[in-house]
Amino acid sequence: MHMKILLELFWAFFKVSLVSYGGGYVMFMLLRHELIEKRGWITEEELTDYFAIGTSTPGIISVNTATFVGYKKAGIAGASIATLGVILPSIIIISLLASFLRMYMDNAHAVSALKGIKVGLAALMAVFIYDLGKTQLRRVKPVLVFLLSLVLIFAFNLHVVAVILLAGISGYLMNRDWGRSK
Amino acid sequence: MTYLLIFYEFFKTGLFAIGGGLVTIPFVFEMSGKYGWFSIEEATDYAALSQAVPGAIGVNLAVFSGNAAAGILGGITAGIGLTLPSLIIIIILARFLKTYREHPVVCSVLNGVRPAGIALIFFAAAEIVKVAIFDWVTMAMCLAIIVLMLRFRRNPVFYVILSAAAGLVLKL
Repeated sequence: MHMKILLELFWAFFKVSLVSYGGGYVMFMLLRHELIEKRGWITEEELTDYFAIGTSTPGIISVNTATFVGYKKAGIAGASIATLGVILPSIIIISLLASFLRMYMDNAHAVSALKGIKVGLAALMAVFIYDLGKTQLRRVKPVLVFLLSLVLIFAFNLHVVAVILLAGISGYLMNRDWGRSK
Repeated sequence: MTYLLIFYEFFKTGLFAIGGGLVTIPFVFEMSGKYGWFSIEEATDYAALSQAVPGAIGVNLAVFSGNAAAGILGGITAGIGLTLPSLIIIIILARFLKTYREHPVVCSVLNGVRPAGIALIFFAAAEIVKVAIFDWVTMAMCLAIIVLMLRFRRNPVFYVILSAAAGLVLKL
């Protein structure tokens, strides 16, 4: 029984990862189809929960989701095998691609296309920041933490990990009273 | 030795990058300055390519960067280093899922971390803009894509293909 469910877990996440381009949202739709509609492994609420937690815990959201589902179905072995399923397509494709990459980098068309994709990436990040700001920077305290972090990064060149740690501590100090009053 | 460093750097990234794949970009930029495995320009190439190949953007970026630093094994090391913290943390969390999200200390720490995460993305975006936007044409193209995205919100793959095509047509 165990071997079968492990293989199924691996295959489900390998397949989703292999056909999903462009990150979180697409992955969410594909996982929904694969895990809820096709296999009935989890409910709609669980997937939404996993994504919300995946967003607010360290690491890559799809990896976190895979770990949750794998753990639920088959414990630690399931969590590990589902995670392996998510990252294996990236490792295979990029290892193959990287050796060709240097060759293509001499090709004028490839360079133009890549420059275009970089402009697209800049636009994607601008929209991502706009979306995040719209939902998460609506009160004074978060805006304050945001602005202070910008100053620490740009003016003082502070290490990204230090910024995250400081922000976590300031969040704890600022919100402590809210937590108590509730 | 390089493998150990790669593992350490990406483990750290996996541990502190909260909010998904794009948040890993500033961490990789920082590695480029620290170790010289690749330049900021190359890191930007990898970030762009990570969007254009299948898989999670963060994992793709890790494998590309690790591969540039130390070949195929470097890529595998980076991918595993990045995902290991998630695996450990989520396995622990899965045991007390419900209490975790409503715990007041966890909530307030995350309330502080999220705005800082947006600031980190902002920093990474500024670095990418410096490399990607170099004249009026690229600036106009970027603004056009932003407007299209806000207006229509289609699948990101559509925009990757569109921007690659625009790059070819405009001979960037």
